Parts: sequence; C-alpha cells; structure tokens
Amino acid sequence: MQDEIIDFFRSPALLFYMTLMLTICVVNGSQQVGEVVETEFHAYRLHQYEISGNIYGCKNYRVSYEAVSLGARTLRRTMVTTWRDLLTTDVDDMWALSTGAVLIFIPDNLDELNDIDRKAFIDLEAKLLSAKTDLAVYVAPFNDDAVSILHDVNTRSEKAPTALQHLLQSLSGNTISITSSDQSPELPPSYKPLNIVGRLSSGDRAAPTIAFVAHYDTQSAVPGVSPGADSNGSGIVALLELLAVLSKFYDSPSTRPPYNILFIWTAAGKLNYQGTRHWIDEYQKGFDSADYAKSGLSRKGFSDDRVDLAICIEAIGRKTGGFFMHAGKTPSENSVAAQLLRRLKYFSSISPKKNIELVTKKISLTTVSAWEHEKFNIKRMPAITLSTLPSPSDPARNSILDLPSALDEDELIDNIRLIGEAVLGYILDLPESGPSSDSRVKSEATMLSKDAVDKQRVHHFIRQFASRPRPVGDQRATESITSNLASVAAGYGNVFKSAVTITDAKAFGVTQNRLVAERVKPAVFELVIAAGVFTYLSAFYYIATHSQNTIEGTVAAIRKSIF
Amino acid sequence: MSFFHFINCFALAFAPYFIVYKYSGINEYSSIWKCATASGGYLLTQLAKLLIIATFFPALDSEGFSIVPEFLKSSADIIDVIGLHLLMTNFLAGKGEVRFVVGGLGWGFAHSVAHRLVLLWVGARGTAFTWRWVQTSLDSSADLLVIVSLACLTWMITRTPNKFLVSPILAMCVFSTFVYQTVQHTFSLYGWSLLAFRFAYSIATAILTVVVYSANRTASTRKNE
Repeated sequence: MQDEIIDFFRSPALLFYMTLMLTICVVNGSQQVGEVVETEFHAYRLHQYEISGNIYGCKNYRVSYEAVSLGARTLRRTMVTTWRDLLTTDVDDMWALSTGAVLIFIPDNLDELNDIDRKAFIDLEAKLLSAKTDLAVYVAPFNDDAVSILHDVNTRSEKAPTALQHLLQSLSGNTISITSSDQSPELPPSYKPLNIVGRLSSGDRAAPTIAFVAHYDTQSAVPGVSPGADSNGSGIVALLELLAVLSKFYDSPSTRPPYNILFIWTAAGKLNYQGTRHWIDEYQKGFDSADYAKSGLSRKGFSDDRVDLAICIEAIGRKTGGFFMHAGKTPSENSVAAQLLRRLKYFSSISPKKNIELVTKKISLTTVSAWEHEKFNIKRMPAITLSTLPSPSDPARNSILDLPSALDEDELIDNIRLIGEAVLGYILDLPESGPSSDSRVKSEATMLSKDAVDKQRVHHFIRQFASRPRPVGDQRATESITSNLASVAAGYGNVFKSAVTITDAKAFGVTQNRLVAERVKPAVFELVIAAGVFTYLSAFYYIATHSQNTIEGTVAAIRKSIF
Repeated sequence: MSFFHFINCFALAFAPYFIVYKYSGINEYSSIWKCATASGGYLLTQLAKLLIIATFFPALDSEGFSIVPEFLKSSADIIDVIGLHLLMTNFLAGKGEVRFVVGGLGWGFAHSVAHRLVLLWVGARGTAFTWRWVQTSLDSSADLLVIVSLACLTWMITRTPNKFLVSPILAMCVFSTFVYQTVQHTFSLYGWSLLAFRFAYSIATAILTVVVYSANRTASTRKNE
C-alpha cells in the first residue's frame, strides 16, 4: 500500500495536476473586497525655464516623499494643500528648501470660479510665477480622492493632546506616501520646435512684403493646464482666418494685389520670442540655410522679399473696450505703420465702434522683449503689435484662466475683419479716408463682404488650435499643433517649416506627471503586527496542546449529562 | 508594507496548521505523509469540482449577487464530501478519529495554500498598507475549524444510524462559502466584521460537531453494551 502511494506521488502527471490546481484555485479563490489603498491622479508641474541665465520656476520633478500638511516641515516631504490655503500662507521659507515636493489642489472646473475667486486665483498665479525653488511643485485638479488625502494629511498633522496618544499615533497612524511615475521623458537635446510660414505670392519678383506674425505656444505658472486661448490662441486663429480671407484675392491674376504676404506662426514665443528671432536671422542671411532648400521651393523667389511691415498679432480675442497698436516709437507720417494706423481708425469708426490707440514703449536691448515686434525693431525692421491688451504686463497674457470660455468670438471676428480691411486697403492702395474727401458723399469703402470672415470657420479654428495647452516644453503637443497648422495653412497657400534653435534660453520638459498616493504605516508598525501574530499563535499553541484532553473531557461530560 | 509584512501574514495563515499537527498529539498517531496524501486528494477533488462547475454552471451575464445561482454553484462543494470520503476510506489508515483529523488537516492546509499563498505573495509585499491581508490570513484559522468539522461529519455520516443529526451540521459545513457570500452581500459586512462572523460561524460549527460526535459515541457505546 505504501509503495503504491510513493509511486503515485512520483508520477509527473501529479506534478502537472498540482501546478494546474494551484493556479486555478487561486483564480477561483474568494476575493475579499477591501478599501482603496492607493489613488492615482494627473498632476501638472510648475513652470521651469531659463532665459539669459536666469532660472525660473521649480527645478525638480521627481516625487517620492511622505505627505504633510501646510505649515509642517517640508524638507524631504510632500506638502499637500488647497489653493486657498496656499494663498493665505507665507511660503517663502518653503520655497527655499532643497529637497521635497508640493502638491496644490485647484478647482477641476476653472470656468465656474466667481469674480472674487477669480481675483484670488490670479493672486495665486502671481505667487507661483514669482516662485524659484528646488522643490517639485505640482498642481492637480480637485476630486473625491483629494478629499480623503487632505483629511488624512490634516489628521496626521494635528497635535495629540497627550504624550501617550502621540506615541500611539507615531506607532500606528496612517501616512500618505506620494510617488511620481516619471513617465514623461525630459526634452531631448536635439529638440527644435518648428516655425510655420505660409506665403501668398503676388507673382512679381520686386513686390514688397507684408508679414503677419503670431507665436503659437502657451505659458503660465502651470503650463500643462493653461490653454492660452487668447494669448496666443487668438493670434493663431487670426492668422489662419486672414490667410483664408486674403487667399481669395490671390487666386486670380486680375484681383491679385501687388504685395506678397507672409503668415508666420512662430515657436517659443513665451521664451523671449525664439521663433521670431530665428526667422529674422534666417531672413537677414538671405535664406541660405538648408531648411529652405529642403522645402523644394525656389530659393530665388524668397531672397527678394522686402518686408515693409511685420504685423504681430497677440491676444485680440478679449473684449477690453480698446484695440492697441504697440510700437517702439511713434511712426513717421508716411510710414506703412502710420498708414495702417489711419486705416484702422477709419474702419473702426464705421461699424464696430472701437477705440484705436497707439502705444509706444521704448525698446530695451538688455531685458526680455515685451512684445513680439521688438524683435524686428532690434534688427531695424519696421514692426508693430496689435492687441486688445494695453500693457505687456497684463496678467491675462500668462494666466491659467485664459480659457476658451474667456474668448469673445464676436470680438475676435470683428478684430480679424478690421485688420483684414486695413491691410487689404493698404496693399490695394485704396484712399485712406473713404471714397471721397467731399463731406457730402457718405458711402462706405469696404473690400470684404459680410461673410468673408466665416464665423463657423473661426469657431472651428478656435476649437482646434486654441483649446488645449501647448507649452514649448511639451514636445508632443508642440509637434501636434505644428503639423496641424501646416496642413490647414497648406490649403490656402504655400507652406514650409523651419526648425528653431533655441538660444539664450532653455525649455524644460515634464510638464505633467502621474502621482500615486498610497496609505502606508510606519515601519515600526510591522513589529506591532508581528507581536500580534506571535500572541495569536501562542494562544493557538496553548489551545492545540490541550485540545485532545479538552475534547475528550467535553465528549465525556456531554455523554454523561445529556445521554 | 514590505516583505516583513508578507512574513507576518504567511506565519499567521499557515502556522496554525503546523501548530495543530505538531502539538495536538496527532503526530504520534500518523506521519506527515498522510497529510500530504490528504493534500493531494484535495487537489484532485478540486480538479473534478472545477470540471463540473465549468460544465453545469456557466458564468452568468447578469451582474450582482443572485442567491439561487450562487446556491446551486455552492452545491458543487458536495464533491468535497465525496472526495473526503474516498480519501479517508481508501488512503488513510488507523482509527476513525485519526483519519478525519489527519484528513482535515491536510485538506485544510492545501485549501489555505491554494487560496492564499499567491494572493499574499502578490498583495502583501506592496507598499500601501491595508488590513486586508491580515484578515485573509486570519480566515485561514476559521477555515481550519470548518474543514476539520467537515471531515469529522463526513466520517460519521456513513457510520452512524443517527444521520438526521449529522446532516444539518454537514450542510452547514458544505454551504459555508454560500453563507459567507450571502451575509456579505445582504448585510454589507466587510473587513473585520465579516471576519468576526466567519469566526463565529466556524466556532458554532465546531461546537455542534463535538455535540453530534458525543451523541454518536454514546450510541456506539450502548450498542456495544
């Protein structure tokens, strides 16, 4: 009998059965429903960039620390708080720490902020913009998991009333451990964002050129959550719409104006206008670089371009009651800028009733350029910037609250039409003050029909190009928008791309990260569990050693007493 | 948590079987290989049970907990009774008490290994702390009581004229999984409360088994007299 059992266990079929059974039994094992022990959420990092050797923002992105509440010591820890608490607390000491992390919960729907909260949020942004820290600083939308995390963190930080309770809390209290998954790679050293250049050609080699310029990237205190709908999403949309409108005039030789028009979507505008500087350098070198040779276009056709005026467009989608032409100095009477200003004033005095103002600002060669046109002026090229913002330091330029809902589409369409009318009047050499100087003639002079600026097309452009964050540090978003821009613009004119080398500035990646929050116990708590296990097994041992006698005695007693 | 937590849970789950075998006196009557034989019998029985479940109880499309299909699925646990009976009759030797204690220990150990070892290995070494793995390990002790009771009742059901006394307790053991699931979903018991219920149910089953065993011994004694 025993030999048969031994032979049975030696069989390889039994080994196969045991392996199979263990696997299947595990699958069918009873699953006990437990509480959620870890939560995962998307977090967006505070900005990080470098201009002229000055480093801004937070320098780190790795998180692997225990969570503490606001006010606690943050060295080698993750400070977790809400945006309101951070706003009312002095955090300069915290920014000075060298190792740690900060996690700030903001509302998940920024459109629903009321006016008071909106002002407070702008104050928060100013606070974050001025932060320079070695910590990893993240912003995450508020959700249900955030409530439990904040509750545990705040409970942990409360001081226990007695020393004994404090000791017990140190032994067995819950702590939250926050770890980043670090899936986004840093920017490769060879990363070069692209300039997109569209061109409408008059066919005449000696014709002068008007250039429309708009940068397409976004920036804010937290680049990953800022769609930059107005600055400079409105610029992107304006250039696309102007290209669509003006290209109709270039379809036929009989209606073709005697000007070439360039549409330039520039990269890294928020990093001191790197794309613009790159384009100007290439332009002044006569387009000898290989990038243009690769585009297959005739080199000679571009080398003769003479830019009469560069019109930079930024933030024209917000209703501020005014429309501003920013220039380095007051343009002379017969310059292109002055003529354009007069035409803008003329057209704005007809239907939209807008106040056109000229704002001049002395250009500084040593600081970051305030407006895009300053890059052209530094190189002695005439340029202006059109915007609805009166000042370059307007917080709306770099705000997280620059959302698509903040865009006024009618205002944007009116401004696009205004710019189109003025430029078209100039390149077609129409009279500036209307069809006649005789005060008795009251007719309007307009080249664009009522439907020339298509409302649906503008809405589509806004949804496609001005609704999602596209910081220069987000390589995927930047490449996505440049390819989309090129394909849309190619439908109206010649388009080519140029890789921009970022100099005197540096962009950093990892604009977003995935953070995992886990509830952990202190390491010493395992000793407490081990003591509990030992106690339980000791009781079990005691019961087992006496089980035979106990059961026999019980059986005998039951037999006597009952039966 | 850490690997040390896994060691804690591992000891909590499997040390009771070792303690019962080593220190309750059963090792004087039987060798470890009898327990190994019982474990092998458990695995073969589970194979047969899974084949029957896959054949006659396909997965339902409806979500949620339904009592009647779960009851029918739990009735497949009757195969455990048949397997235990064949095991104790043909493969184990010695007195009846030795057979069902050894069979119950081996059966329960295999059951615990199959249900908990991989779960503990995968889950208990994670970073996040939860009491779930400690509760799963403590369930092993409750299962030990139920399974040894099941073995005892299986032995008695074929050797006593008082079957009407043994059958209800045997049903308690066979359908223990169904009772746990029903109570869990009906009364929303989770975590420690479910564990407390399982312990109470196991202890009640064990006590009733001792009572029925005493009645059986009395009847045998009278017959001998």
